Amino acid sequence: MASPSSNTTHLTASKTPNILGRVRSKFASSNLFIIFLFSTIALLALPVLTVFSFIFEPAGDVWNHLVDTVLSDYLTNSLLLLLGVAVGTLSMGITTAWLTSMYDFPGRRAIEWALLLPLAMPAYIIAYTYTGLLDFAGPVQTYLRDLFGWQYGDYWFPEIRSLFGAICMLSLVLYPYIYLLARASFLGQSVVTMEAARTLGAGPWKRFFRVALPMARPAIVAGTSLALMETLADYGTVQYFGVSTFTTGIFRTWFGLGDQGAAAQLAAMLLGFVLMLILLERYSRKQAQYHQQSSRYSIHKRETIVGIKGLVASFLSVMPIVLGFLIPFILLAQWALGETIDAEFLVLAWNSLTLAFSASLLALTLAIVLGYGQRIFPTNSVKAGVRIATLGYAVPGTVIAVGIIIPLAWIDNTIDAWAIKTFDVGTGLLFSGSLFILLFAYLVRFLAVALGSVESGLQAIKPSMDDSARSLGFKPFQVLRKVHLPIIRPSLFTALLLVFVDVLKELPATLILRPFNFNTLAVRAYELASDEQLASAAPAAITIVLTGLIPVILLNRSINKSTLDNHQ
Amino acid sequence: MSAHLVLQDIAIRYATKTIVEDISFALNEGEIGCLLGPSGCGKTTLLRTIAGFEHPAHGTITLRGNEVASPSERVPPEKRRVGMVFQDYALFPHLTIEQNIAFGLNKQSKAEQQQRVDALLSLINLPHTKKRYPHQLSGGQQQRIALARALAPEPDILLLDEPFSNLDVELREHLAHDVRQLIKTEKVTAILVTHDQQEAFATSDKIALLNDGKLVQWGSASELYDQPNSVFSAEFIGQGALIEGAIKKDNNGINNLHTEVGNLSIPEHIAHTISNDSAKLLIRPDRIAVSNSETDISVTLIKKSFRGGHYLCSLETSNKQLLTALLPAQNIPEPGTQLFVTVSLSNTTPIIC
Repeated sequence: MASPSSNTTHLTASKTPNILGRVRSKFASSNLFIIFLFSTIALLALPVLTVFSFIFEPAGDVWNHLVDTVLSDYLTNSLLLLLGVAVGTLSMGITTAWLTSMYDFPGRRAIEWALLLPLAMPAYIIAYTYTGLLDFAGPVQTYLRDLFGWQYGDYWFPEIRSLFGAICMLSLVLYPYIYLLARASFLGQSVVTMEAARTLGAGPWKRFFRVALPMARPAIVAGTSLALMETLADYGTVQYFGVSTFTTGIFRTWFGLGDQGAAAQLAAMLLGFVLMLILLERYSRKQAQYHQQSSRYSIHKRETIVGIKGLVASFLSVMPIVLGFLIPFILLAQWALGETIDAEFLVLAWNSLTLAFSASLLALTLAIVLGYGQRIFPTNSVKAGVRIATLGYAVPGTVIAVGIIIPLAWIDNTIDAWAIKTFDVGTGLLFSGSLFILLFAYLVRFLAVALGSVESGLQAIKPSMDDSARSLGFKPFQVLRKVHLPIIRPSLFTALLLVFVDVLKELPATLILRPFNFNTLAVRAYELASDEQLASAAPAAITIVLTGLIPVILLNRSINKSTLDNHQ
Repeated sequence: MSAHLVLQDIAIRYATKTIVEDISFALNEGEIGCLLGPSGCGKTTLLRTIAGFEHPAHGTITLRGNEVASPSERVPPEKRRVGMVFQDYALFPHLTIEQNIAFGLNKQSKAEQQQRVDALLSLINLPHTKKRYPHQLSGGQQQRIALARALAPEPDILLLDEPFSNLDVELREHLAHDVRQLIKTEKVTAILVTHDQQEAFATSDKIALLNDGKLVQWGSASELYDQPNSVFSAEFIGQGALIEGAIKKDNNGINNLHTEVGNLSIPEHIAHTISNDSAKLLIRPDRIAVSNSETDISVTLIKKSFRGGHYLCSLETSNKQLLTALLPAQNIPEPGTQLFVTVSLSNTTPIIC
């Protein structure tokens, strides 16, 4: 078993006479753990590093072709999409966060938690629901035509399947990131700070713009960068709406033009954007520490607003829920009720379920290894390694898929060639097109989610607890089993659940990496919707949404609990 | 000199719970007042009501002749011209020290603001922190910045909510003195909330002693120390022992208090409150001295604790009455020994209960 006392940093601090003997006997096992830790990290970092390495690849013909033709489209569309989603999510997120944290108005309590509901709605699902609602044959336009006697071409109606439509769809499901972080920041801001501003003569507008907003800025920037990472990662919505962005471009270059190198170079460019967002997010979180103030001495009191003002507040904060959740959900439910559950659906559900469950179990196991590894070897190299291994959370599924296929195909081919040379029998492709690489992709993408829960659980356990268990004669891994794991059981459960739901919703990586003829709920819902069979896609879609509600409810509970804690 | 701040019959209630009641006092211009009391006595609520964050259910608050709070009038905090120093300072974390201090100065030109900020920074001896952010400063420095920020707009009254409670004990005494100097330099009227009597004594001209939502006593530090008007005042402020006495009218109709340590007459102004024939007397430790005369009061030394130069001693009289005395360290015998002491009763007022 590994022992921190064998770690060199601990060695120098230790003064026990027989420490050297003990260290020698444990040196081997502890080294083994370190090797295991770093090989896990290396494996998880492989896809991102692979894609990254293509930045330095010399440009091929296809790449030059891309540069001449579509690259500027990808770039403009992606940038416009980012800009639009930033504006959309910021305006919705900040308005709702400010209203619900500072004021009391009719329905505030219900609205406060319902504002998180759109988190359960994957963007590609809301996109096709709104298409069904708003396109030419949809109920809205049909109704308008019947009402005014219009014919095709008589009237103008906004085209939902457009860049603007994509911006709206993504904003509607991504604003909760900003809402959540901004609200936590507004509520966490010391009430006293606002009171100080009042005693210095600041009215409500000055208090918002000069105090509350700048103080919440790091949180808001962090929320925005999360929302924008999701925007960059989106494949389903932009593909469905026919907007050419990096993700659809990678897909097209890979499968349409058949050039893996150029696809990987596109992926590398996309990764560049993502990395900027990651750095922005990390930086903001660091800044946020300084902006945090204790609110020990005063209880947050909301100002009650009534009458017209109250109704305006209710309306403003209820709209994102109606548009981002209620309307698409009701529509999906209607469509789903018209469908029958057949054997195909059950197979899809089973596939999704087993896949999601295996992925979440694997992710949890690795998260415990990395989380506890960091705890018993708190060296900079381990910490940096874990950060790199969990970069995947921000990396679009398409990029991860590209980063996985390329090295594994190389391994497959090498093994095959070696087998042919040695045994005269080829092994074929061992990994490519197997469930293994799909699980691997999920791990790369979602390990950070599991690690986040595990880490927050572990952080709640004081280091003195480890020390006392060790001093009572337990080895580090016995301590993990007997002390940490039982204490952090709720965090472990949360980790499992979050990864489960994320895997269930995941679309682009599954689309690229799934074995031939293997379908999941997400893939099938997307395929049916692309074939304009919107209603047939509904049962799968609504299953995904309903499952997605579970973590939203959990999130709500933990928020309520922490606010209660703050108020004693 | 007319009163600068007047609280008249203030009561504050949350729903049905009464936080403070029957509070009236007046503070003159340039005076430093103090709301002193144990935690939960309502002192912070009272301060927040003066600031305008809470509203009295009853009574009026008049600041510089203007009514700022009454059942019919409610001036919001931002219009009240109060400066407030909060317990955790509440400096704006996203603004530099300079910007923090200038926050309330929006009605002046940039140059004037600059001048005021510089003047205050040099007054508090922190001119070099101008471009820094609050988190880069120590607690004591932050406290002084908070004070400068509150003083910058030249408020009608400065309110300080437990301004020293987040600081080290050694720093406190030093800063309490500095803060008093600063407030006096700026010639501002101030009210400070604290539960620490040393702080109250070091900073304030007038002290309002609060207990359980009521104003127990209002007066200067020495008045509170020497003439406590109640058992609570006596026990809360300073050390000492309360001893029982019996009231007897003498031949001239004057009420006299007879105690084991001596007798004294009850002054006219409190005589009318006498309801029964007993009263208490507070004996401060410094009023007791060892004597060599066996005709003096005989006591037994119960215990002693060294205070550097002095011993704080518990003494028991023959009637089992306990006294606390601060006696010079020389020649203090071991506990159990009999001693003779004298007690000075000058400037001592009986407490009628």
